[in-house]
Amino acid sequence: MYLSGLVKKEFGRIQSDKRTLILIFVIPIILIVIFGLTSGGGPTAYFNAAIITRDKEPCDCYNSTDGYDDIFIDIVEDECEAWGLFEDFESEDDDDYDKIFDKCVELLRDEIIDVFIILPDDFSETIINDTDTEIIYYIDGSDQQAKDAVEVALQEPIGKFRLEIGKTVNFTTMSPYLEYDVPFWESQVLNYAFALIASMLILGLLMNLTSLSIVSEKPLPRMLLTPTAKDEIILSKLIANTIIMILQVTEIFVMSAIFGLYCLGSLFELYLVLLMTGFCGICMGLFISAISKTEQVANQLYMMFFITVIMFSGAFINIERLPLAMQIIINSLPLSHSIPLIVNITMKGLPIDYAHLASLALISSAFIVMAYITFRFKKVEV
Amino acid sequence: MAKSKTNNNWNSGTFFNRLKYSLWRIVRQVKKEFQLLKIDKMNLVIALLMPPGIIMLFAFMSTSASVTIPVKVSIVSYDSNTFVNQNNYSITTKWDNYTEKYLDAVEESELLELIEFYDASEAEDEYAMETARNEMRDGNIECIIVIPVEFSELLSTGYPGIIELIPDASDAVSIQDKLNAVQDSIKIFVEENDLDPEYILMQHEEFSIPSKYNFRYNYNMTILLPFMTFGISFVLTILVVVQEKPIARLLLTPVQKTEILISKYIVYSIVLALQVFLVLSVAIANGLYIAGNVIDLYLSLYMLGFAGVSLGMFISTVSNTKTEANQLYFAFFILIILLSGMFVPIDAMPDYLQNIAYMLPLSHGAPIIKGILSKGKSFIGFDFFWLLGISTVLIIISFLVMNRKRYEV
Repeated sequence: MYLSGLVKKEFGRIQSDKRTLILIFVIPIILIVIFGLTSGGGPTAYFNAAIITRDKEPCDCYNSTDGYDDIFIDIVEDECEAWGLFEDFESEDDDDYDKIFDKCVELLRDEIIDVFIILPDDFSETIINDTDTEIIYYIDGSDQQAKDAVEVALQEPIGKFRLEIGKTVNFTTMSPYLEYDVPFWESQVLNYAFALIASMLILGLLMNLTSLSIVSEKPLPRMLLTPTAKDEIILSKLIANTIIMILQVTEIFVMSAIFGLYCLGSLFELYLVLLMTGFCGICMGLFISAISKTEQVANQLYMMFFITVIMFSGAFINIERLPLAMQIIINSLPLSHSIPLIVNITMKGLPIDYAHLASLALISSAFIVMAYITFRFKKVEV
Repeated sequence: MAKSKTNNNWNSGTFFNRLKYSLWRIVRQVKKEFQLLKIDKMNLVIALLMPPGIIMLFAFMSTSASVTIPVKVSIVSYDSNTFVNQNNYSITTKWDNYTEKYLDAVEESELLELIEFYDASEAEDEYAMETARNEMRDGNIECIIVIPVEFSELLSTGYPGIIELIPDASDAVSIQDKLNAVQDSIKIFVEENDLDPEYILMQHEEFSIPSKYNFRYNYNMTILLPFMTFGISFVLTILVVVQEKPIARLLLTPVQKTEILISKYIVYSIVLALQVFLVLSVAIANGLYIAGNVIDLYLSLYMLGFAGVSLGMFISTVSNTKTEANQLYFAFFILIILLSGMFVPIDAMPDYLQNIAYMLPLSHGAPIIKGILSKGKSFIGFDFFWLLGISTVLIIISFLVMNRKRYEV
């Protein structure tokens, strides 16, 4: 009786704050619409390049010739999917080369180009003579993504160039066929980012909804003069917020489906994972609210938790590479379980991994128990 | 009578006199603000000590994650199967002279770990591809390398030998690692077997982080530093105006609304200076490489934090209740984070969304910090002036709103 009354009271409190409710339901819609309508964003890196050719410079080598550099430049300019040519420069001597080189470094510094390629003075000669050909490139070393991808990406113009000039003897290359990728006709931005964005959004919104629920409730001390117990108060908050969470997760789930969610696995299991993530957010929010003395502290703690949960989600650093202690810390945060669960269900069509789901349940339980204990011993003045 | 005389003294007189009294009032307000801050010690502790704590933990994690873990692969070879020449169907071959050699290259590569080799020409490996795909689906391997039936034939007769690669693309971030690892094995294969002429790629890096610094930590700091600085300064200020109850009574004294707001800006700018100093000190102590000037870095982070303070104060000024301030804060925060380029590259967004993203402060955080950290750029540039512009606009609006706001005593 007490509990149902308290839950009703909680709903009344949440309802009185209509704008929060609207925000909770409107923000996900806006974001899903934005990402759903965003095209592109596949896993392929794209390089904007400049090419310096020294092939026309005199070279001290047998069978002096040139001309292959133009073919290579044309291929980079017109025939490559992962490459675009910003500009090509023809160097005639060392002084000329130094000036062009400095210009290209400036272009690289200003991020106008991602890489510049230098074709040496014996480029054509080595091709004619069937000896090893050197291709020099300068890449922005601070751009990890470009640095990691450039060598493989360069195989595209090299392969096409070799085919074009008919020099395919001993040419070995690879041809990738992606498995479990998002098909190009689906919304790739939404679907590649879905696991991270959906779980972050649900967790963040619900943590925010609940992180002020105890600390900002003024009638709480007076309520404790009635027969209402502290565990009933916290339970009523948990129930009321869980109902709101179910509505919110349902909304995100339906909106994502409308805007092109690509899911190979069970939609029900995906929904279950999203619900579990949301529940985790509620428990973490209640914990923050229980340990905070003022709303300002609760807001600050919320921000710290949110930053920690995102940065230690495993999205930025591969968890497998970490020592055991760090793995334990990361595994005690919800996103390290939600993200793999969502990826496995949506992209691979795998059944739910109960170990991860149980971990989410365990994390939720731990936070709610800690919230209860803290609230139990919290002194409130009437 | 005496009081009205005093009030006359405060509000009349020469411009310099008024300015002097105004400054005096601001100083007193600043003092009051600091006392308010001191009352809520926990708030101050969280604001000053938790961000450096998170950076230390992140530094430890990045440093310990520097070991390269090889990509787990299975190889399915069809090379020993019968190859039928497309130009003359009567010519069939079963050459597989390059299969073993490629296998050796895979085993030699430090970036690959061979889990299983299937020879699909053998009866027991007839369903090798299906087995391998199931293994990949279950996460036991990350990539399947397929040696096609014509691999040895084509290589032996002067045509390109193409190895097929099937990476698990469900984790978009790690696809490149898998491609790189297989490319490494091809490089070893070509070198070991003298498959000349080779195309040798000579890589040179500009603006790279020196080898004695941890690349992963430094790379991630270009994301974490702006995110952290903006976030903590933003959240610290969202309630400072809206939650202060004595403002209404304060306005009965000669204190002006603008003075109240100025004093708050001063106090939180000082707190921000300390926050940025602590965050930066801990980041440097943990091995942050700065190609540029540390003062430039400090000023850019400060500017980013100041944009956070301005946005927080703006929200606090326009809100009528704390709840409203909290709502607005979260709406802004989520939008700013998701459109900052941290999760989805801004270049991948449609034009209209890119325009919105570039208007938001955090989108300018990573470029300005990256420029200073790795390219030695100065803090002065488009990003800095954009942040300054956003802050100025927000401050002006906050003052206008504050002046029009009505308080009931």
